[in-house]
Amino acid sequence: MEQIFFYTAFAIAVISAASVVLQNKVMYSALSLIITLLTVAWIYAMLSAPFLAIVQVILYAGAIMVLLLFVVMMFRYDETEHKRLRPDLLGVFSVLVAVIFAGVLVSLFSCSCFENAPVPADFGSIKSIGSVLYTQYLVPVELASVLLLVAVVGAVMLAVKR
Amino acid sequence: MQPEVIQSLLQIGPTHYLVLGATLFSLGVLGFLVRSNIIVLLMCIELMINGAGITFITFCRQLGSLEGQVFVLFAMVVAAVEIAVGLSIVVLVFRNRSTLDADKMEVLKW
Repeated sequence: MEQIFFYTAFAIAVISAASVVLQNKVMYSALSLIITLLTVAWIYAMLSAPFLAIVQVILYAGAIMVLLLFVVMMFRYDETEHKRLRPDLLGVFSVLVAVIFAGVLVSLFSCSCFENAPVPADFGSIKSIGSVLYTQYLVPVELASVLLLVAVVGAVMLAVKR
Repeated sequence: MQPEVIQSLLQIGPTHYLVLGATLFSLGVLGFLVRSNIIVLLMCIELMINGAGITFITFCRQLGSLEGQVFVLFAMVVAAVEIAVGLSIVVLVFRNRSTLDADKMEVLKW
């Protein structure tokens, strides 16, 4: 059962991620990216991280992508449609990325130390994440809120017309 | 195929999830290198962040500790910040130079 779920998610994620890279139009790339992000949420749910799966759907596939789509729709059609790829760069960089990826695969499969570890039933629940987040990681949480404030002010500062 | 190969393909373990994360990350890197539209470059950064996130969650499940999930949560916050500021920079660049092509922005080149 897990195999069916995993391989379906794998196929959808890889195809839609490739579509983000290869699509001619920015709008199609953005829509493919939404599918990829939803599939990543699916993977999180399979890896016993239900809270992160929900946050991924709400924050990533919801908020961030809505912002991105708004900006994509602000531009003229001919500006968002570009010559798709640079043929002179595509060959070199594909080979480079493929070599690095093959190295990662070889090192993953040559190591047989990975086994599925049993996890407690409430692993990744909101309660357990919250207790870690607000005790051990209290200072980073506050810093993240400052970062968000800076981002809001900075975005308004940049976008305002002078 | 060899029976043990089929067995290792059917027995879903952390390696499978790590391969998925590596694939998403590689596709993001490739897209970042070959595309020239700035908005697509931002999307490829998102792909890379998600590949790294899958790796984090896999190891956090493997090691039975919640730190990885907290880190992915912070990565999402940083990604939201990056998209907000990045997109306002894109709008600003388009207003000044009337193009979204990263190859045409060469003021700072040498």
